[in-house]
Amino acid sequence: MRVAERDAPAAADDAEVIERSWHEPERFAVLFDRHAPFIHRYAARRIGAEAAEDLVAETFLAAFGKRRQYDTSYPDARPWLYGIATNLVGQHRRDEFRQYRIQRAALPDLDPPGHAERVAASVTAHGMRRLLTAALADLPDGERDVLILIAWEQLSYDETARALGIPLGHRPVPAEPGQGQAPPGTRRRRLFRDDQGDLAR
Amino acid sequence: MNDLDLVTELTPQVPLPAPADLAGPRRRLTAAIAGERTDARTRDESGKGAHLPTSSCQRRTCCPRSRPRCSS
Repeated sequence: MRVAERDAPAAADDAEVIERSWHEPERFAVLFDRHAPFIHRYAARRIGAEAAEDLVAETFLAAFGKRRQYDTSYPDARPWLYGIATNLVGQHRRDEFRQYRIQRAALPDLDPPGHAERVAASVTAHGMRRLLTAALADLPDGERDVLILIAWEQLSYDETARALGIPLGHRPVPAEPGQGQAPPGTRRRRLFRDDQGDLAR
Repeated sequence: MNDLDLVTELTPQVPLPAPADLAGPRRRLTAAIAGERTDARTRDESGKGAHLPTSSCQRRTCCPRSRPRCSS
């Protein structure tokens, strides 16, 4: 019975763990053990392995500090942690852009002219990857955050919206004249699904 | 293949970290947790036996913990 009670936090969902940690702060370490590897990998992808360790520490310290603000209606805290980590990535933009340069440099060069068939086959894939890597780096910060959380970290639309504090709707904010003007900044930050289920901004 | 699939293909292949890579961040979190524990204990101890001034007790506005002493 006692053992079961002691083991209970390990089986409890994140919301329960966080709630218990309000009075028993050491419980919060359970959250670290569950999610830190994924936050570390996310950080390493965005700002490089060297800076990732610091970002993980900062993420969990910030999360611990504001754990009383956590909305316990969400049993999974990972999107919340991704949101905190994403905000902190903003303080590491220089590291992030260095990562994009490294990623672009790591893409193999196209075959030299003359190998027409191979060039034809690879030009689309390689060219597109270079183009996309550059485009990703050029995106406004908020849009890049959305795209990366969904495409790289496999968060759902709802989880991404929750992580970034973006309202989730099913229709774009009106942009055409005569349909009303979106408040400044909301168009870029609004996340929605179009009829095909594709991500749109 | 849509645009999202293409961006997904660009996902940098980064392995999950080894436990040693997380030891530093975990230590920092553990220290913060211990710090909060210590703060809470200090607050509790400094709160024990603390009563509002007698004049407040006499005005019956003191905290419940101190009331028994007031009534005596």
